[in-house]
Amino acid sequence: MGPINIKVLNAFDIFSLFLKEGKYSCEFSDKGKYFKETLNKFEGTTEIEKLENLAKFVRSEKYVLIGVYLLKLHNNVTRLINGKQERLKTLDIIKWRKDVEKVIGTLKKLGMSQGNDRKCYDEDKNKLNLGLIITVSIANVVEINKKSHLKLCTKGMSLKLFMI
Amino acid sequence: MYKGDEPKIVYDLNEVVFQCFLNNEDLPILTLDYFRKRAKEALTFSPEFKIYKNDQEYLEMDIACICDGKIVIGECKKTNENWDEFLGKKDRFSEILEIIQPDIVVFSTLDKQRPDEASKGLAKFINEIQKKHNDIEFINLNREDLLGST
Repeated sequence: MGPINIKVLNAFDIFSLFLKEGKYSCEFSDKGKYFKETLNKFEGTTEIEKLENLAKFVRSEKYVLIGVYLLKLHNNVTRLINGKQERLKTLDIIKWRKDVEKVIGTLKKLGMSQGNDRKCYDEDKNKLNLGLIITVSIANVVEINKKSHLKLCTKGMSLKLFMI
Repeated sequence: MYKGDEPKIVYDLNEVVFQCFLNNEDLPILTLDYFRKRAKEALTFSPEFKIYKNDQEYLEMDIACICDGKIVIGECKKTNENWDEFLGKKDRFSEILEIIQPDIVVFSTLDKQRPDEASKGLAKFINEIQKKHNDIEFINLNREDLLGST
């Protein structure tokens, strides 16, 4: 009797087999490929650990920077700081980092409440309760701008601040 | 460069990571992480894939994983306003559902309201499937479910 070969199928293999039975085929989409490569850049010995760390990152304050970075690449984005308007030309993330830190610093100072119940900054946990995601309501951002003297202004694109 | 000018430090985000977040992959990441937390024994997942029928692009599957032996498929929409776009392809989704025969179907959003509460069309679609397959569990995830705890 020859050696027995066992192949452990991953989820994609299993779904491919299901679909093959129904005479469908499948392949990773571009987004799926980006996800896979991004996942591999995160720490972990297994895919599950990598997923855990990637999800932690998406929930963290650091993800705010990614949001701002993506927003900045949008051609129509302009920036208003202390009333001075400039059109963004470069990918100078350092300046933006300072701006975001300014907002975070102001939120820490004010302990500003967002909506009805929770505060933007949780002093007990020393943790920011806000994340930033591109799209939807600019109203929240404007509210924070009034307090922090920082204004992120967009044309045809808006920001969403959400409670974490 | 003039004397005294210091070189600027320039940061750049890895192109693949940039594309990943630019294409709203944060939501599938958080949805899969929900199943990671839920899994008691094992989880295996696939990145988003495209399904082809007769070599023509037919449907995209945002969520495809196996959680404790249960087959999970699903759709993610950043906001609840986008469910109509999904409902335009509901027949195709139903067709694939018949082939895969999942144990769980998940719909997730980063909005406050759950998908089935926000979209009457989606709630109706879920009811229609449940009438045919009462063994399928439907999970509707909102912002709190996905971001509520770290």
